[in-house]
Amino acid sequence: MISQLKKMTAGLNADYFDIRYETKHVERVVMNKKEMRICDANTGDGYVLRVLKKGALATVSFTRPEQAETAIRKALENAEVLAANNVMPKSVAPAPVVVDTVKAKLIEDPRQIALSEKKELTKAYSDLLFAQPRIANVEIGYADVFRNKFFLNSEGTEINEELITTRLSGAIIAQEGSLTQPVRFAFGGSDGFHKVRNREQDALDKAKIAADLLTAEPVKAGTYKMVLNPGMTGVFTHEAFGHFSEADIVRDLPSLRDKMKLGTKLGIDELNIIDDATLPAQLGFYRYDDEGVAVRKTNLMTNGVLTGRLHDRFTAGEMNEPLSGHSIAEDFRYAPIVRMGCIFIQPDRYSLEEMLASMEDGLYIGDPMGGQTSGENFTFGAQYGYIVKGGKLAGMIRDINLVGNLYKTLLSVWMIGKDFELKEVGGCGKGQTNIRSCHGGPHVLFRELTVGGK
Amino acid sequence: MEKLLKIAANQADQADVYYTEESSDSISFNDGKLDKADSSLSSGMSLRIIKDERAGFAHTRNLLDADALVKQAILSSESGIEAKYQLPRNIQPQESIVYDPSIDKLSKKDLIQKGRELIDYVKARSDGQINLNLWYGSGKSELKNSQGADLSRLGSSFGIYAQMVFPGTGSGLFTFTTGVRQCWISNEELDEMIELFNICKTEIVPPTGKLPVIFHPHSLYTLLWRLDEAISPANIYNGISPLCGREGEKIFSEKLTYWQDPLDPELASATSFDDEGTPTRVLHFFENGVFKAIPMDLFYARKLGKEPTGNGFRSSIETMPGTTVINAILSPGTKSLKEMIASIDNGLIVYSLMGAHSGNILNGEYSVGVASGLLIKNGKAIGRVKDCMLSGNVYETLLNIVDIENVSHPMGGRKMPAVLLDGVSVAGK
Repeated sequence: MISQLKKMTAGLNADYFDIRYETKHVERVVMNKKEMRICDANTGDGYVLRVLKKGALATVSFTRPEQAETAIRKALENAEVLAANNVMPKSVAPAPVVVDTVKAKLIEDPRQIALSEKKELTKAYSDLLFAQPRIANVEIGYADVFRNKFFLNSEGTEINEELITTRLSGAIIAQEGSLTQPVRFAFGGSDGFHKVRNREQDALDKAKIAADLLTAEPVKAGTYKMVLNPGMTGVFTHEAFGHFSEADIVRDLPSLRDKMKLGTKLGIDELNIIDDATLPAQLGFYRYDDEGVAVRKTNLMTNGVLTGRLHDRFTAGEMNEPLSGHSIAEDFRYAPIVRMGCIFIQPDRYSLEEMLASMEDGLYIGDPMGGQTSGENFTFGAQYGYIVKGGKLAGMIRDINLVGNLYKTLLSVWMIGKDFELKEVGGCGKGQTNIRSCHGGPHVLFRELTVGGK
Repeated sequence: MEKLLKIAANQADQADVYYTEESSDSISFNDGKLDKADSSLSSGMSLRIIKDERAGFAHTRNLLDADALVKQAILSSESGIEAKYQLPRNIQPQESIVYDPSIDKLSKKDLIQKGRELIDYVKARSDGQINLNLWYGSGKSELKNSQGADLSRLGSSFGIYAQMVFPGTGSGLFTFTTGVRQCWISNEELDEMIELFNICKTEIVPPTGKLPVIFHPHSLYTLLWRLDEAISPANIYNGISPLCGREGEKIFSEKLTYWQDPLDPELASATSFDDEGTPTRVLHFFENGVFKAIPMDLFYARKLGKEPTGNGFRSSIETMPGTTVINAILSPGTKSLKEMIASIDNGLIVYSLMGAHSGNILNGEYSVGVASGLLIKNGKAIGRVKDCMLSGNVYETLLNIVDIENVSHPMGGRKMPAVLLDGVSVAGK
């Protein structure tokens, strides 16, 4: 394949170019209320070409090899028209030339498992969940996604890397009268099919939460001391802080540059935030990004001070900061953009019991349900939570929506737990979907967080 | 395509093949400076077969081996996806109503020229950061099935998205236009955005309590999303929609009429047939507050024992058709937006909301942060609200419609007016 890419781009006259060809094989099963709705195995493929000429970067994606000539012509035209309109000249930060092949490290390879077995497994979870009390519906889906990526650039880098992502996820809906309560579950990861086997107890725990929510109290709006569970900590870290650590976001919002200047102290001394996609056996693992740069562990915040940023080769060049290897595309249809790999708050020293005891009265917030940010303000839904009284979990609460401001919240961190959990299934949407976007952390206690609502 | 359909039809009881091909071009300006110029050329094909009342599905970008693709679809059908429906016979489609050949004559230079004019206009009147995306594209899709359907449509699209960013934040105001034809943002629309932006420079802590709130067309989807979930045939069939068995009942204010007009030529996705070959039709989901109809594809029409409504669409070649509302319209009311604002002593107008996808959507609940919204005092917008949340349940909120704007604005695939609701819970910090 690499030699075909070389042939396609032979004679391409530019200051820099890269081309990526990918096949994406997806096997999926979807059931809704015990009925099979989707069960298929398919492959898609395509090309993305990027050309840098006279300081202008142009991208063309195309489907068929015979479109390569047209694509090259369009890319050069686009670059010319940009250059003629005096854009801010772009350049690629220097990166090592790499020739490498990376096979996925799998404990159990989903490609070796028949679609019929995937179907049976999905059905077994569906049947199990339906057998639980007050469960009105189960929407469940299995998918494995095999991206086989071939990357070539004009500097001589040639990489073939496989990424295989497995997941089993869905929603359990409990019902009583006209009231319904959904709870989500998601098992999977980057290292194989075993991650979706033998998870019956985890699934049952979720079904119980859904049923219990039918009699939970809607939470009262107000400001509370709160412990966030690792899932919720991860969403806060990713959505509210992480996106502001993506260099393209900071570059495109000039008014943010001062606030997010490296060296600025934004958090308490104990707060360390890291993006580390090199950690093995977690959802976000990869070796090279979609610009052929090896990903590295990046300390974004150290002892409360901003110490790093996530970059592609263009933003690193423009901001004169080190490469981090975070330029990621969803698949063969897209040019890469700056994405988080695996972002988390580093665990500290406290047990959950110690944190609950310190807080005395407040709220414990469980897993996330949707979240959105607008600038530095965020809104995160939670699937469930508990009232904390005298340092102990009391009644269950529902209809929880956290609202707040990134900078105030970073300073409101009180105690950081010693536990650590990363999510197993991703789906960050920033124009494209990144199914391997991983986040998590420990339980974290905040002095003050706000629940919105009635 | 014919060859694939022939092979498939030989091995199955019914089959359809769907093909799309499109090209698009876009440019973007960031902070007033030209930043990107991208192009895309894509195509692909999908195959559905029905054998022994079971459906199978396969798709490809590059069809190299038709036999192998049919085999993939047959294997998929063995999993037991029910398909007791008949694929439609051929119909006479309307001439393409959504293709404007002049789109294919546009160039990036035209877009850049126009983009600059828009930016210069805003810059001369405001000091805010302005971002601009402009795009155009065209394509065709074809559908053939074993029952003789042989349909195709051409389409074109054009759009501009302009955003002004509040200083020191990532949020801001936006306006956009999309359509089948070239549709430039008018100076009046820019003036409105600039005026709002200037009012937004004053930040105000909002009052707390039950207040009148105007949902601008840009923020209305937060409420309508809950309606779309409630009328979803999957949720009705599965017995989890609050509207199960309530057709003919008055659910909302009589001012609310929510419907689809698939042939409305002002909307970019207008079409006379859906992606399964069923003719599309005008369908009223709620008429004067009464729940009237459920949109359906072939699968759910059969499940619910009703006629398909021509709502089977594919989000890409990678999916089988599923029920999708097309060209949704909220019928206009009687007052202008200015009159609606003037009628409020103490309330809000909200342009963009955060968190529409959180909360218990099926139950109709919403609890959203206001990303951009203005406080209205004595009939005048006086400043941007800070740290403000709205919450409620659409089954209560939409009983209290005070007024609906007298224009329904085309916005991509929807037409929406502004809506004034009374008694929305507003919480400031």
